[in-house]
Amino acid sequence: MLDGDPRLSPCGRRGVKNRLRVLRAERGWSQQDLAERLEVSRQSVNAIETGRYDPSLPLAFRIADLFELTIEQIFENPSVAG
Amino acid sequence: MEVSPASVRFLWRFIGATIVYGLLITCASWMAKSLDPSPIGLIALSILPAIGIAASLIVVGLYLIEETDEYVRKRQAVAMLVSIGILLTLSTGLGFLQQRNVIGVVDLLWAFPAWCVVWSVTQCSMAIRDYRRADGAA
Repeated sequence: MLDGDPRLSPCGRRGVKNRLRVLRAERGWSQQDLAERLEVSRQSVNAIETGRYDPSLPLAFRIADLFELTIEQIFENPSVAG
Repeated sequence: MEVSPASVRFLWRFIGATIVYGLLITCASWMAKSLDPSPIGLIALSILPAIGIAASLIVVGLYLIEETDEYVRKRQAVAMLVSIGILLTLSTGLGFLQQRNVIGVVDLLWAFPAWCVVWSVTQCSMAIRDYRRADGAA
């Protein structure tokens, strides 16, 4: 049963949980602001935040570099998630 | 909704390839009707519209290479695969009905325009679905 699985995104897809929205909000950035900093579309940022899309490793590194954090501090490792 | 430079290039290239396809198929049809060519001539004429299709597919391939936004690229690839799946499913059903003489001959020349239409409709439906799922956190 997938219902109640904490790793499910709002749309029901099993995506990697992340803190992107929280980190973005802490800096007062809109999705568009973050998209411009990452040089991707706003749709990409929205899809990553809502768990509909898991970024590639290069994009995950760009995100981590932007927030000056490690990838693990932004994205939850699905193999160790509760 | 922002449009990437690769999308703009793709749009203009695809319009160009479609115009070329339209001209070539019109030209080939007119020549086949007016000049009454031999079977070998007809085979040669059939290559003309196929060149237009090949050009369009090369344009699509270039777009997938040039698009730097991986999420957008993935969505386009999914839309293409879904549209190919729909078209092949439909053509299989129509082929069966045609084989059993339930329907007349289906003109295969419509395959590419039909794929373009289904691809566009698929992209629109994906965009609507994403818009509904988006939580407006922009």
